[in-house]
Amino acid sequence: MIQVSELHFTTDDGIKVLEDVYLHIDRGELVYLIGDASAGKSLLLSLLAAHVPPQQGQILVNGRNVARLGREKALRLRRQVGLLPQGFVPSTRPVLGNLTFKLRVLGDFREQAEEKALATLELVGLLRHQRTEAAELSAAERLRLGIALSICDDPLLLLIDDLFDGLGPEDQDQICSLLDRVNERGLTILATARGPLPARTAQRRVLELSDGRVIAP
Amino acid sequence: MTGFSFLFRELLGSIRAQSGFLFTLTALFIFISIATFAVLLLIGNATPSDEPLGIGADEIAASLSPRLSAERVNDLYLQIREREDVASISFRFAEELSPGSTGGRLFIRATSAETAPAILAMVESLNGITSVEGGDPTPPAESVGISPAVRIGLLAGLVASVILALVLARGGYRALLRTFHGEIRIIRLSGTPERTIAMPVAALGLFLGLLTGLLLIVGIYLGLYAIGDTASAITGAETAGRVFGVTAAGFVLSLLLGSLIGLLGASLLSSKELAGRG
Repeated sequence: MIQVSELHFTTDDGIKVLEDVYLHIDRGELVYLIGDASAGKSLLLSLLAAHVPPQQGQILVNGRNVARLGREKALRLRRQVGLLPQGFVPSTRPVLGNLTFKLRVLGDFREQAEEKALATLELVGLLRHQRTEAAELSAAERLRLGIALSICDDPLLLLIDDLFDGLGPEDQDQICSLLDRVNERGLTILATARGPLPARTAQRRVLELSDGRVIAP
Repeated sequence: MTGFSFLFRELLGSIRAQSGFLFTLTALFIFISIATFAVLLLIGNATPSDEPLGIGADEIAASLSPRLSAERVNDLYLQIREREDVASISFRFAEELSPGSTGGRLFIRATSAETAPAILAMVESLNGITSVEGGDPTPPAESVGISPAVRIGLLAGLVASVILALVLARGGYRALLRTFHGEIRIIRLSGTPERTIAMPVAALGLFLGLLTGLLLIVGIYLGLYAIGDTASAITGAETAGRVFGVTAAGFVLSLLLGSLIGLLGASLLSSKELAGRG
């Protein structure tokens, strides 16, 4: 699903954030990527989701070379990638309204959108909060809502940035359990975290982004 | 199109007290600017009356038959001049007034406009007079126009109201997009093109222009209906065609202003504040 090779990225200030990054993630795999706050995890996810154009190196997502995508094709790829950015804050609408809004913008009719949204909320464990205002949710529930928003339109790949930011150990464990459930449905997931990771992630592949390179910890 | 109409409705639904107030003021200033524009086009310059060039209320013009002899013309001339209510009388050959015409014309000035009808009746009854014309006894209606100074003032007002409308619209859009920024973020993350959100935002400005343009049409026709006959005294507003033309031009201007406001709103989407939020 993801094939990255010889990826380099330097900021306008001349700081080398990514240096010769190699990364391979198979379809249906759930991978955790840990790294320090300024290791370049967010940048890597933005590159994979075609939100930032690559400078040097090759990124293949679902067989498509991100560097060679035109504007329209890049947008098409973005639709197939659910990106949940760090510190995501949903809109002030109720939980269900957030999801139906996105689905209706993407062209679904009301009934179809509600049906999909309710099924997704059930999957992420927010069904009982469907009428709750998003602003009233806890940090863990907001993260669940963010995941629901990212997967409600059936993407091929889910990218989550700083997964456990602001969560307690119990919530971290529950979120890992949720990702396992989502992954069981065939969705490829790459989640970044500052580490250390909860014990529940031990059975998953964990990579580390350090000094601009992806390594096995 | 479904996505557009859905987003447009959602955008309208996100208008809160502050943005609503600012957009109402924007619509008001668009209306003021196009109403000023319509006034400038509809009401002409204040001009002196054309009345002195025609027959005055105290004047009578009598046409004489070309078959009258010179003696008979002289008799008629003296007969009319003898009247006490006749101030002056003059004779002119018809050829002088209109080449190729025959006969002659007597121009009579009464001592006052009140005595003119009696003279007219008497002249009409005389043999050898083929036609008689008298001045209109009712005073001419005063024409309504605007002086160059007022015109310059209105022009300055038009420019000021356009600028105010743009400034207020910017404030309205900023308030609205702050309320809608969560939804904008969702749209951007979902991989839809930027135009998906830019188009409804721009359409909101056009919608404002459309509403105020329609208000202008209703306002002009209601105004003309209300002032009734006085409308004909307004220089330039005499013909229905002209009123229609000015109304149509005002409506188009309103749409143009609305489009400009819409583009201004859409440009705010790429501002640092919203780009960061999005």
